[in-house]
Amino acid sequence: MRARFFLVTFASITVTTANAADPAKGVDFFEKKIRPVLVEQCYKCHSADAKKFKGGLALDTRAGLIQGGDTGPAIAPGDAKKSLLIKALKHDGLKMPNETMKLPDAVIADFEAWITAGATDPRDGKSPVKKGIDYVEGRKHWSYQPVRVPPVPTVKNSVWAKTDFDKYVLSKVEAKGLAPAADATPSQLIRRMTFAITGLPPTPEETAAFEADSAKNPDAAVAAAADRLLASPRFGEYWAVHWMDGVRFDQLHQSSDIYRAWLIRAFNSGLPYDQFVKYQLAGDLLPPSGTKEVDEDRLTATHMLTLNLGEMDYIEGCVEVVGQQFLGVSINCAKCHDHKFDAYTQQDYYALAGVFTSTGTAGFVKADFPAYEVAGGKVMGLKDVPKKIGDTKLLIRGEKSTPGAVVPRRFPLVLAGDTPTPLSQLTKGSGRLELANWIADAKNPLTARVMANRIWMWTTGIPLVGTPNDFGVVGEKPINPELLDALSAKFAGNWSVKGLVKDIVTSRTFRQSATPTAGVQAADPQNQLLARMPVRRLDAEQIVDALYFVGGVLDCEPPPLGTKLAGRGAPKKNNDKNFLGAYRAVYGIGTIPAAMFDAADPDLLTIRRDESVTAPQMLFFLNNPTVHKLAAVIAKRAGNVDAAARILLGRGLTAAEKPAAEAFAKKNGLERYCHLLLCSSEFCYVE
Amino acid sequence: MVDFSAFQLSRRTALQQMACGVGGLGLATLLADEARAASPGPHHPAKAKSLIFLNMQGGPTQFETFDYKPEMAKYDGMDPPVSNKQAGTVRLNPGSKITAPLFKYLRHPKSEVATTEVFPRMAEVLDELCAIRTMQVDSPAHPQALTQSMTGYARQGMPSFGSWIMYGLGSANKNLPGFVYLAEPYGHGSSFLPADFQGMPVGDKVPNLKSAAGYNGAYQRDMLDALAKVNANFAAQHPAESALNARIEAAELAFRMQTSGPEVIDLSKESKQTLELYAISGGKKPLDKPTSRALSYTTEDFSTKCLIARRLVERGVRVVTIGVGGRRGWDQHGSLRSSIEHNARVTDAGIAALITDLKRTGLLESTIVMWGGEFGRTPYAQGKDGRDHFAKGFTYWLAGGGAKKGVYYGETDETGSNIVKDPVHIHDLHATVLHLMGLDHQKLTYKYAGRDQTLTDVNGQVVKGLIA
Repeated sequence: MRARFFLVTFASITVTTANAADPAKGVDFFEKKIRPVLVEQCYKCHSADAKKFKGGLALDTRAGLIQGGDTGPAIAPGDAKKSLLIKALKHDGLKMPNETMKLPDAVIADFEAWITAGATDPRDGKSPVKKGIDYVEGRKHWSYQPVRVPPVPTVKNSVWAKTDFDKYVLSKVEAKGLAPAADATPSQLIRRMTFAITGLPPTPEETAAFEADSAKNPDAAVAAAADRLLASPRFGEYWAVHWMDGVRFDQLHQSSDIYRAWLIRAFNSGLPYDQFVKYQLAGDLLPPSGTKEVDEDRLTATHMLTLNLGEMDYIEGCVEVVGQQFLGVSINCAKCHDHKFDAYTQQDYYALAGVFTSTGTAGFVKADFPAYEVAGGKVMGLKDVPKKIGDTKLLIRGEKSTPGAVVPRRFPLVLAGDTPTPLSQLTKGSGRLELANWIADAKNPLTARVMANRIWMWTTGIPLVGTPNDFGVVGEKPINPELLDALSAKFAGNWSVKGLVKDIVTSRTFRQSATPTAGVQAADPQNQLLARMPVRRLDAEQIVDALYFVGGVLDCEPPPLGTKLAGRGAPKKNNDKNFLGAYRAVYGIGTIPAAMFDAADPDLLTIRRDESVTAPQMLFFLNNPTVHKLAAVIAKRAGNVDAAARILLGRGLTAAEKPAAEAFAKKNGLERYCHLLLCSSEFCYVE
Repeated sequence: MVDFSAFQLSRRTALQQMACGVGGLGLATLLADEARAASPGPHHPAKAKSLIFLNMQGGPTQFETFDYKPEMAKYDGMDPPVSNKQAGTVRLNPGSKITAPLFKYLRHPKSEVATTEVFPRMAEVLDELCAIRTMQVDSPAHPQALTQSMTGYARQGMPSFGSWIMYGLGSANKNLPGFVYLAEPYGHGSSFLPADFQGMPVGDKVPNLKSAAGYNGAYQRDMLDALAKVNANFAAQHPAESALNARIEAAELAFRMQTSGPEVIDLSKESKQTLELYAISGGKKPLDKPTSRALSYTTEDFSTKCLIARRLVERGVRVVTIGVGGRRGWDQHGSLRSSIEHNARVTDAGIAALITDLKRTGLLESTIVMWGGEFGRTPYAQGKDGRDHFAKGFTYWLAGGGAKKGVYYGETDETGSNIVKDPVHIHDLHATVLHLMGLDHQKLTYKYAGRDQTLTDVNGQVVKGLIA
């Protein structure tokens, strides 16, 4: 190596001093010696023709070479020694054309001579690889604009709308010359509401009472039912599952059940969402509340980010969850390279990563859970560790072996402006509290929009933004931006989750039937106008909970904290109880039936669950002994086909259905009829 | 959710418009089939319809199996080349010396590919193999390498390659799941791809396959007809919801699986000659007592899986994986000689029979048989009688399905320590297998977490040199 180095240097000096008309300077040299090699060896991974710029490097223009890729400029014209391209060709660090293939020394010498002579290159034009980020342009993106309540539109049908939210929907429907769907029947509506809010079906008595109330005053009936359902402890238990899906909740993770209990309490007690955010991100850093219980709650909430401890890169997991779950942005994509689509640089990633590298994890003892014994009675949470606090280094290509410059901790530039104050100037701590306050600020345009979209999606089944974790450039645009902003503004005004759910279920939009009016289906097959409600498949927890519930065997008492359910090291007896879905084990692939019905995999951030339809699901309904047992129990309770339908479908049989149902039950027995209904689509879909 | 292309949407609309002429349940079936066929592939004409992956978990040695390295004898007992250590891809085993292959080679007149004396039956079908000697994965650790060989990624939580193929091509069988494993469940999940694309076990392990007393027999058929009416009625009220039609079809598939599932594992109708070919005699006696680092299967266990795989492929199943009954069966850190002898005895007949049988039935042309583990083993010894993990330059082979026959691809140096020509990363192999099956690995994308995900990430090239 050393010998070759001298030789080359010597050769090039000789050339440049002895021969003024350096042949390596001419275009000819490039055309004969350099271009063919580039085309043959490099273009397949680094050119516009191949549609590939591996490592962010384009080698098909001069500008591309000079601009370079993730590891810096490829060439320094005039200085072969400083040119990364030469190092790579010599397999000194980088290895090109690939790890095992090296070009002949003579070819490498040509490249050295060419660069030393100034790297003449007629291939003009801009580098096809965009470097740097245009923040002015980036900030124009819709989701970064402040939330403003759009003017309430005037609508032709002046009686349909029950709330202002409805008018944003109706005006779009009317603009297409269409009409919204008729109201759902009271039995359909109470079933839809009950499942959406509590995850369970209504009892026949509840349905009957709602039908009676609706006959008197439909608006009052809906409002009263919403209040009743939101006051049920089942609300928090079911909605905690929604949240758990997006934060890698894994109940096998040490003390995660205490965090789950906190989540359930937070939803049920109506903890305002801004507090909900602050507790989880920086509950340990908030000023003491004066109440021990509240302080412990805040510490418990910080368990959320420790759920990423099983990830290959814990810090990346934290940035991913904070970015996607709270802000709907995938800053984590900028770990190894600037974000390909959104205005996030690698500096933005490491500026945020520094907040989490400054944070440690800690266990603390929670006084009011004396029964809790796992992990020595300690809840795992976050803690600022003074010796860890500091800015972190950017890692070139995300690799620890190639550290770059230190990046000051700060918020992403596209959101926080060109010159945000570094967090180290604002605090001696990690910066988590400042981050939490910034996210939970009503003026942050993303926080309220992202959560309002989720609340709308969890309640109605249709997201307004189809990519709830990605409000960036490649994410979907809102189908009704005015409605989204109206909801977001309302939400940011009081941060009340329950309040927004009630607003949604009492809207006329939510009360529509699933059957569209004339012309709607053809004009709007994707249901973007919201001129009808969707038919939703129940999710995994709802299906199993509903089975236990109609069979009268659902165990609504939560398991004691520290109880191990199915999974590693769980005692079998714990699985005999029919706990609610929120408490049942959901772990890994192959867990039946949760995974079969698309339950969240704890390894993934599940943003929207799939609603698959598969043969094994049908085998479950057809042949599972538990399903048969429940059919027997229900038959006994019902006594006749109509009562069975009321229990299982939330409605009585129509005159057209009754004769066939009675004939079937007469021939095969009521138990088998109940089984048939358990297998029916209507049982596991909500209209 | 799958983003159906405009073409598929218009096909669906056309089908719906045909409705008047087709009739209720028939239409439902049509639509359900359409929903199932809705997939982004194929992208070009396929050479192969099915894939059988013989997953040699634990990391089989290339030197005692299919990598012909007679020159290695010269280096026996010498220090391994320095560059190998510099590559940083193997753990350093200070002081360990190159160990030449332990067994004599067996050659085939029509094949470059060789095997060793412990695989006498494989020696007869070497002319069908296209053996890659330069396989690479990113990690020499079992979990990461296994995960990568199954999903393309060394981290957990990505879809199985089988799920990608299912997503791209859909199922070709109405009575069985299209992606079946006769192996450990790990690595067969569909992750963010729709759940219907996950691998499913067949045989006794399918949950809920057996109908209960009181719910089976003629009653079940009656019940399903009644259920179809109830469900069709519900679906008719919601014509926009294709899932409701798919559910009617799913119930019928479930019904058929009750028969087809047990049928496919019932070998009683296989001829005596076939069973002999696979060395299945009905006895379950192990050939000898395996060590802890060897396959726990008997020849019969393994051969039976191979025969079931042929039966599955015959019935149109797209992807079958066969495991070796544990994650460490080929992990010979010690007992190299005895464990390899044992493993060869267990797998030799079944694999050779599978290739012969597929060829005989004409299925080999449309079926890729793929053999390999998560990595290979070092050219130098570990301890007295072992080889360590080796992730850069190990062996996989393909047979059938449009792959070349009787050739080697890629070269390592004479000691097997460094790749000197044509490296094949597992991404490249995945890209090539997809290509043979009519799929373009760069076009087979699924939107998740804000980006178009693929099996091969941003890597992988179709290796033309593997294709006939």
